[in-house]
Amino acid sequence: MAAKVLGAVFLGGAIGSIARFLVTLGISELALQDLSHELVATSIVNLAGAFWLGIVHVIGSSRSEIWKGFFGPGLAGGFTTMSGLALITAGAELGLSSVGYLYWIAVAIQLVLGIFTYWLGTELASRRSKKAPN
Amino acid sequence: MEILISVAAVAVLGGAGSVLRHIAGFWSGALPWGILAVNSIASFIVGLAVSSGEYEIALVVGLAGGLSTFSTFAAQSYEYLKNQQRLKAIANLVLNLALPALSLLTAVIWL
Repeated sequence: MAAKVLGAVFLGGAIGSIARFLVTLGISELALQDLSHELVATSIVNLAGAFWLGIVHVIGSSRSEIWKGFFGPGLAGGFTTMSGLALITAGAELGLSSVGYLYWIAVAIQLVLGIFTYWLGTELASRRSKKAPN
Repeated sequence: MEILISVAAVAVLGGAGSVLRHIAGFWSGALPWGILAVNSIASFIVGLAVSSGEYEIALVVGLAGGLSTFSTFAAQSYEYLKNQQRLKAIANLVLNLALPALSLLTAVIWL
């Protein structure tokens, strides 16, 4: 595996992780309760990240491996999180909310919406690339 | 100053986690086992960090956040649906919902 590609993934992952951290900090201004805060923050980063990866997979098909590594597993992968979702569902199981089952449902919905937003990203990028002049 | 140190830790560990995830992503069979594994391992790390209360931002937001991924899960599940592999898509969704949560709970109970 080319070191340059791994370097690109590292750089993209670092930037994506910082962006996710800043979004989480921004959401904390809303002063939501712990699990609600986590749910809103993960919804924003995960759905936006899945949408972005859909775009990257379409417009990146003819790009270099370094470009793909930076914008795909780097930026989109680093920006999104599954462990944040586990924190919500496990937190619900540990009794951090009296309506824990609602958080399970909310996370399951987020997973389904993530597949949809990824598709939306691929569709948007495909249509734009068809319209673009050669 | 404290926020800058946190940002630096998140960047370095998030980048390192992303590289490990990228490498693990090549492990794939009937399901994308590599991604499922890193999502579960990252959640275990979150459980350890939250329980111990040490280096929470660096480990939870940085390492675990970089190691785990939602976007790749979405892309892989979409590919299954596109290829009429509905059972695999459902299995991928259910496993990514259950295993990371179970890993996190295991870590919390373990400590």
